[in-house]
Amino acid sequence: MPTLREVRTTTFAIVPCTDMTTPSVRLSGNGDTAAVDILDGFLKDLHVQLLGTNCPQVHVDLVELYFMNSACVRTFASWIHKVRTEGTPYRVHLKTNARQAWQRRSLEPIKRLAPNVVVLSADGPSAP
Amino acid sequence: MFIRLTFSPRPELVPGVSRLVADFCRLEAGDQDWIARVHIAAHELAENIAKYSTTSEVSLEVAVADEASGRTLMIRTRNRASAEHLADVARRLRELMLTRDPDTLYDEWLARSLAAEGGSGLGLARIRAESGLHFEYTIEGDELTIVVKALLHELAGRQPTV
Repeated sequence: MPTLREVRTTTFAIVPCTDMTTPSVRLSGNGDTAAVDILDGFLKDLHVQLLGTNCPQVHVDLVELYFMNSACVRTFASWIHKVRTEGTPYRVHLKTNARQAWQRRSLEPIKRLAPNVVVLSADGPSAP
Repeated sequence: MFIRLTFSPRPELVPGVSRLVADFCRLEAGDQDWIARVHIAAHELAENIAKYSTTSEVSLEVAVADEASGRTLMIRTRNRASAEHLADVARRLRELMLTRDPDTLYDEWLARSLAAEGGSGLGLARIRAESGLHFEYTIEGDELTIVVKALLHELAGRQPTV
């Protein structure tokens, strides 16, 4: 099980959940310019640890993520590219908020980059 | 109705500017999804002008107005930039304006951005692919004006592709 520290700023947070059998990470707040380096560093560490422990999958909960700029999208895409091309690929389950349709639109291109790696699922009913 | 914001090209101002644009749109409609689209577009545009401006002032204007084709949302940005950046962004904007398949173009630019350092144009491609807004632009001297616009009923009716 990877050991990662949570990261919190006033507007953005990444919280690893270590009490589950499958590694899990929860993102919340606003993924804007100030979050890019934080997200990039965290995902690089996560990737190294998941490869090192031969985890078959990781869950990423985005339900409380309210915004993501293109630099954060690119950071996610870069991580997924590494998962696909470095070592034994593990599955990345991205849980989106059905009431925030932008999440699905923003993550679909990342899934298209690596359809065998990324699994998208939605939490809750979609917006009316 | 419209608002026009003039601000220093500082990255820390971008979230506030884009939220103000989203709040402005809430006055027009309660559709959270199209407000989210406009928020993303405003954020990407504001980030670009903050990043590439060569002067201490940039501007962003958002307006909703009745045009011949229907009620229309428009965001206009203005900034001065280097000749090198202007040539690069003009090339990217032409490509975005001409494409009939913005999703595929975005996928290509996203894949290309993984191997490249620096500006990738990804924010502009994202606006075209995800927000459904259409681009126009002009360059006069070293001043770049970008306009993105869409009919409100098209914004409201646009659903995720999957």
